[in-house]
Amino acid sequence: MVALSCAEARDLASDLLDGELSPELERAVDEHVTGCPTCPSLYRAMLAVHRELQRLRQREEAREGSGAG
Amino acid sequence: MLTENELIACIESRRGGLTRMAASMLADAAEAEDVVQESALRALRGRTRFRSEADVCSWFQRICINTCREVARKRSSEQNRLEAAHREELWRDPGYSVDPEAVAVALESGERLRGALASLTPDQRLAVVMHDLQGWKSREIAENSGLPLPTVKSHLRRGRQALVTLLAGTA
Repeated sequence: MVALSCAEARDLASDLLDGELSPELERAVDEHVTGCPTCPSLYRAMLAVHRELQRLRQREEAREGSGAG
Repeated sequence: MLTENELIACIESRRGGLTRMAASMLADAAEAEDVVQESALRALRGRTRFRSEADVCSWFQRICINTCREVARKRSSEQNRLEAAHREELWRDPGYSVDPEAVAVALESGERLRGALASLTPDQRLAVVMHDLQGWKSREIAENSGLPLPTVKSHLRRGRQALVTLLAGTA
């Protein structure tokens, strides 16, 4: 198992959101986040931002699909 | 040889989408229209340099993205770069964290999110807007901006981290 530093896990968290990590690195990020006092909050916040941007994108695509704007 | 009519048809078919992309990049609807218009003029002037094996709409899109980057870079201040460097330092500090509830509350305000996007460096904003708001792959952003793929991915990571910090109000 790869042991990650906080900085490494925080960088890889972005790739994790995009599903771009190998299973091994995914497990390493999970393991780090589970045992870290600071990274889980950062990851939850990053996930919330990512979901909001996705929601805005879907709204825009629906608007374009309906022929508005 | 690319005809003027073919190019104009392509410009008009992409104008709406590219104007919205530029508006997200520049946080300024009027300037976004100017950028797309300037890109159209550049494309028309450079029409004879167009290689017939390339896709004309992708070529115009690339001109537009690079014009947008130029404008964003000109507007970016030294202060903007220093603040970005400070945020990167925070994320390297193992003791740094944020309150995710504060971020969730901030996300309820479109104004806060737009303000946070506007505070990113131009290349971070390019990566986040194109990837997360426009649905492009990192590889497509790299191909259209001329930036290496690892650089695009790095801007995307730093941009997302910076949004968290800005929305949490911790920098």
